[in-house]
Amino acid sequence: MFRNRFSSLFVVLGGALAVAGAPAVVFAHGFGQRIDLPVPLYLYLFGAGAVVALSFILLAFVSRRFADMLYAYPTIKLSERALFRPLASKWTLASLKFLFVAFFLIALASGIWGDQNPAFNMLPTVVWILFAVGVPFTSALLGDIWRLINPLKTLFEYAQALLRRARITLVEREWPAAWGVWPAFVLFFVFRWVENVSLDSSTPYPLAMFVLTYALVTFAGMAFFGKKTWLSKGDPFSVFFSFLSRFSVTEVREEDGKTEVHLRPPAVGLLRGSADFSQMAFVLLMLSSVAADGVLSTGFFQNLFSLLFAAGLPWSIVGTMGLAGLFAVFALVYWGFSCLTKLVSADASPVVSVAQRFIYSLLPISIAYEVAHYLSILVVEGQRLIYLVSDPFGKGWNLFGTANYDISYTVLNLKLLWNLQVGLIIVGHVIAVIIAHAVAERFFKDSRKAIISQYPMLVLMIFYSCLSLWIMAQPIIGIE
Amino acid sequence: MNKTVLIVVGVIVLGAGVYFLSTGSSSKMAMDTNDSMMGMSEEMMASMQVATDREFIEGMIPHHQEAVDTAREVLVRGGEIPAIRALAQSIIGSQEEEIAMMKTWYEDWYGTPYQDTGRYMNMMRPLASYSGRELDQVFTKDMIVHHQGAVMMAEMALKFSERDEIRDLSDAIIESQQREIALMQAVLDDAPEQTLSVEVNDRKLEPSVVTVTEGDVVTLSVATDESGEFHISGYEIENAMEVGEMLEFALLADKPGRYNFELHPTAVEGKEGHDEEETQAWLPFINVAEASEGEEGEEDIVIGAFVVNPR
Repeated sequence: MFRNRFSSLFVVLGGALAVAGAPAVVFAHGFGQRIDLPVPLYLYLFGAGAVVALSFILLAFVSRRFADMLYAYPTIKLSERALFRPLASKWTLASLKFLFVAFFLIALASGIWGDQNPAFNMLPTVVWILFAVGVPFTSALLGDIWRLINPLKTLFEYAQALLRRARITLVEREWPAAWGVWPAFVLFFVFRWVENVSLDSSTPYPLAMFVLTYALVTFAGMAFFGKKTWLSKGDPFSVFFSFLSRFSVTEVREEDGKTEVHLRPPAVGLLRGSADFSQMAFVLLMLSSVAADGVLSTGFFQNLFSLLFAAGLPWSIVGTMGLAGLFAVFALVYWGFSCLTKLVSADASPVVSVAQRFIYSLLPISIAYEVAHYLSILVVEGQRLIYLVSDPFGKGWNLFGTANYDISYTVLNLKLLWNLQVGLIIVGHVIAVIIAHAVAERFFKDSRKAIISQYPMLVLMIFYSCLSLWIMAQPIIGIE
Repeated sequence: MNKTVLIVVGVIVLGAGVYFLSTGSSSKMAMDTNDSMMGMSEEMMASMQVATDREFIEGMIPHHQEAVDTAREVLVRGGEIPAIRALAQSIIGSQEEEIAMMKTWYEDWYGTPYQDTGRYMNMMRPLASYSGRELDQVFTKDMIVHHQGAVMMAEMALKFSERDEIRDLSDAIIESQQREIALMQAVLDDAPEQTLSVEVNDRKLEPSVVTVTEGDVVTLSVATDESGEFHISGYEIENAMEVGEMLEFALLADKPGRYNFELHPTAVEGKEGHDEEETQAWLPFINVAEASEGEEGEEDIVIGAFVVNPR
């Protein structure tokens, strides 16, 4: 009986939903319990007020000169700095890659053969906390580390080296231009489905099967179309993390066949380039699916879902509809505001090019929301790794002497977290407005047009930021 | 114009910064539960020195028995403070179970039924001359010291014992009694009290959200239509409930945040093996909702939310 000390610590949604018939807290991140509380009303109103006020102040503040300054941002080449050189050495990188391959294989093996209690198995924590929360945070803030540590990529490189030795060459097929990043889009939707809709997302064995299936798809994709092509167009996570890393403080450039890392100010990577249609769809899916966890557990949607359940629809359909519906709403709203932007600016460019040009400027708000929403999970549930590394299979080992670590819930200062959450959204909003404005200055030749064109975008951003704040201020609903 | 704007922005940013800092750095009330063994005489300390599993059991059984007997008296003659009444009940429930367990081990390991060695020195004042609230307070003060003694013995056992049973029991004693010490200390410090009743109906809690404030001493009465374990996640509190019986327990709401009330239904005989197979036979892309249907009785069912607002 005392062995069961942790059993009360984790939430197994599957059992709860399947047994209760009528789902309760339906939309939830794959694994891990939130312990943060809704932002209090006064703070929510303060945040919303600040968002509106700052938007209009910024309108007067951003000029063509300011935009030019942003575009000509300074960078520091890391390889020229002695401090970073050992970090970028071949050996450091190779051992880092190997470390993550080993970590991945151990986690996967744990999912298949380890203790099936999610709290004592490494896989759920590694997938849903470290990978699904930790890597996006790092990508958005520091840079595209997935390029470096992606264990499937490294495994494929190992396989390639073996094949070369055996003198076997893989024929790389051409990537059909019409595909764009659509394969990545579809697979990313599947990922969000597993995360939010699947009832087995936290159970180690089924989760391991998902991971294994994904690995096989990735290997096949890389073998068929070539590593680089598949990772930049077909692999959902490489595409996802690379979009996020546009916000980060580093950029990777290919110079004379060498990969160079440059330090830059945050967010300026969002200024460059226009998304193509499939990339725009992918970013919209990012925005809508990040919000899904929060939006769909609000009272409004819970009531809507109850009605659908009452009508006899199973959760798998209702949940999928929720995810897809939210994407549709985001896409339609964005398209509508792009039409408005074109209308008020009276510019000759088609709506689609307006939409494609401004899509990245919404990312800062989404990133701010993602960090605000998942920070508590990362800080609290992430602690599981401390005891899991000592006993990855739940077999009673104590490799590093940390197996008896108890999660501390008081590491999180909830009042500080509230301020941080609201502060993050405000900062994200300000950055988004600035980026959109700078983009407008370039997109519309005429500066007056650029300013006018920004009113609809500004309204959209205020709406989006306030929605983010509103979600975080929603009262806790119990089990209906 | 531009200068004015700059100033306005500056003021807003500064204001926001100051605001965040001032509200963010809330002082945290830390309760030191392990401070000292002030209430314990040297003789008492000496009587609790244990060095073997046998000595541990011989010391812990009468120690537990004293706690159970005194708690019984609180239920009969005192218990005006709801939290203390609930605590007395919990002490009787958990410690009687542990006494029974230790007696079984004793007979198994040493081949002779447990008998009182007479070495144990009572630690608590007789409650006969007290009544009402005063009785509760005397009980609480003495029980804090008494619990500290149990924690001390359990810590010793963790150092020498090589039996899993003793180690697990010691872990459980340290965890639960330290939590109870913090609760009793809060009662003595006149922490705000909350007495709440909830009901488990058809695997849902009514009301479904229980809200208290950090630092509150919470006494919860739970009625249920299904037997099983009643958990509060994060607080690691587990209590058995029976249909037709009122479960009553007290806790100190010392961790702000949102936690879950969970029900772990009493497992149905012969179901577990079947579930195991079902999980292993699972393949991707079949209807997962159906696949997880059979796991009833194995898992914690979330039945409500326990919300502790920061102070």
